[in-house]
Amino acid sequence: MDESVLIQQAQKGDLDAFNQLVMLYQTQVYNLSCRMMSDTMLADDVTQETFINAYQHLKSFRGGSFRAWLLRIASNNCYDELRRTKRKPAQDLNPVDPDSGEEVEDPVWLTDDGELPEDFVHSRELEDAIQRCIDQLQAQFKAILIMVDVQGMDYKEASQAADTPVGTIRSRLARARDRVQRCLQGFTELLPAKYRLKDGNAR
Amino acid sequence: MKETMHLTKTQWQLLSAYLDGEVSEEERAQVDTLLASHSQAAEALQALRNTKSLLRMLPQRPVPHNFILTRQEAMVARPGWLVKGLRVLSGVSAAALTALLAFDLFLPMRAAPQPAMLESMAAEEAPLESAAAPLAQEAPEVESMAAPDEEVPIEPFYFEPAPIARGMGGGGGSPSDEPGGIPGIILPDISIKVGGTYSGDSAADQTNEEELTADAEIAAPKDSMNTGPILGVAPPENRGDIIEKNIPRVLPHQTSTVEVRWPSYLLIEVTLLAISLVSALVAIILHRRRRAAR
Repeated sequence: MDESVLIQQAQKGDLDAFNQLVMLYQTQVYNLSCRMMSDTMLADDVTQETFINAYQHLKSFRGGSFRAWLLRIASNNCYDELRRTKRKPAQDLNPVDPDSGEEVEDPVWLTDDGELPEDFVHSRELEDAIQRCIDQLQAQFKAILIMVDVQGMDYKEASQAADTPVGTIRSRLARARDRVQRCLQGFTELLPAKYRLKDGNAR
Repeated sequence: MKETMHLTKTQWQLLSAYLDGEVSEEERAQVDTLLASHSQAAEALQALRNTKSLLRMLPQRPVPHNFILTRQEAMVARPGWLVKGLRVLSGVSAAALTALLAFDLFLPMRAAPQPAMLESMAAEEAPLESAAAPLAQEAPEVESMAAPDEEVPIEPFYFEPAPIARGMGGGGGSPSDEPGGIPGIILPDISIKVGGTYSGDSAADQTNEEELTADAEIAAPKDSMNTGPILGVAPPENRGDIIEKNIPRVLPHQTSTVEVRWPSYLLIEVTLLAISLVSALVAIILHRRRRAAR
């Protein structure tokens, strides 16, 4: 069914129509939250909160990109959650090996998705490195980088999602890319050969 | 031959937008020129492209579960009219309390008992009392002579009409002028009748003066006014005699007006504070219950 029809029906109180919209966008909302929060549990909470907030305020949606509207709610929830976790740093819940005293790796890392072990570890390490570089950014820069470079939004939609002028999106994105690029230079050994930067290649 | 250079912030932004195809035609031409003339710019663009590709390589994580809302969650998610109403009530009462406190704080300062102000206020209601006020200020010792066990609001006074200066001192004035004036000062011919109104008419004033004298039982002999030690000025003991009578005074009455309003204000303020706090507290508790129910 057409998205705009679903939105209209959901605005009239049709829960099934709203849930179809949830199914359409839950992966993008969850992934934005995951990248923003860098924590799957928190991302789960934020995503749920986002859809509840969306349902509550559905009548305030006045057209435009529904994805941008949803991601704006999600990013605002992420900012709130980041502020909250900054005030109350959460304790790492990963189990500790009683013999070695070292932290046992996140079970997600141990799942088998068909890749060769070396490739899997390498790609996980690379993903982790990129995520660390993203985590170093301020929340507003982070959100724009994820929306444009990870989720493939154009500037106009990102501007709607971030509730920021296009010019600001442009400058923030350039700065965010610059910082991530500099950060990734510290993980050269993890980067595929064609992505390795020469010395002085970054600005 | 291409030159080596460091990119400025603007050039970097331009390259970044160029990579995304988010530049105008003019900017595109500008970047093309830059890329053609500076090797550093071409390398920077390639580095930007690599970074973007790496970020695009990040895998989409699968959702751990569907985030669809159940009927129960949807009901809970609906805006609670009670919570909303309580929030509004709390806000409104807090605003009203603030306004009342501000009113309470600043208004008494503006309406602080200013003698001149009170006199003018009194003049609007009772011209007689207005005329009496300056005389009362001139003789505070007379006021203090009032018996302390008498009722405070009923502390009226009569007075001898102010001596009329007719220039008798120093040889001024004509023989027809009434003696007892202050040299060099000509005061308006004012006489006051208790409970009546001021009249500018001299003949009527004369009558009123006589009535006043009779009513108030002023013992001062009129002759003594003419035989003052200094050129006809009446001796101090014969001037400004104050006789008690049941006329409410202006000053205590005006001052007590503000004080009488105070307890009712306090009651309203306390009530508003209680409403604001209780409604806010209940709204918070209900909101938390809703969140916990999710």
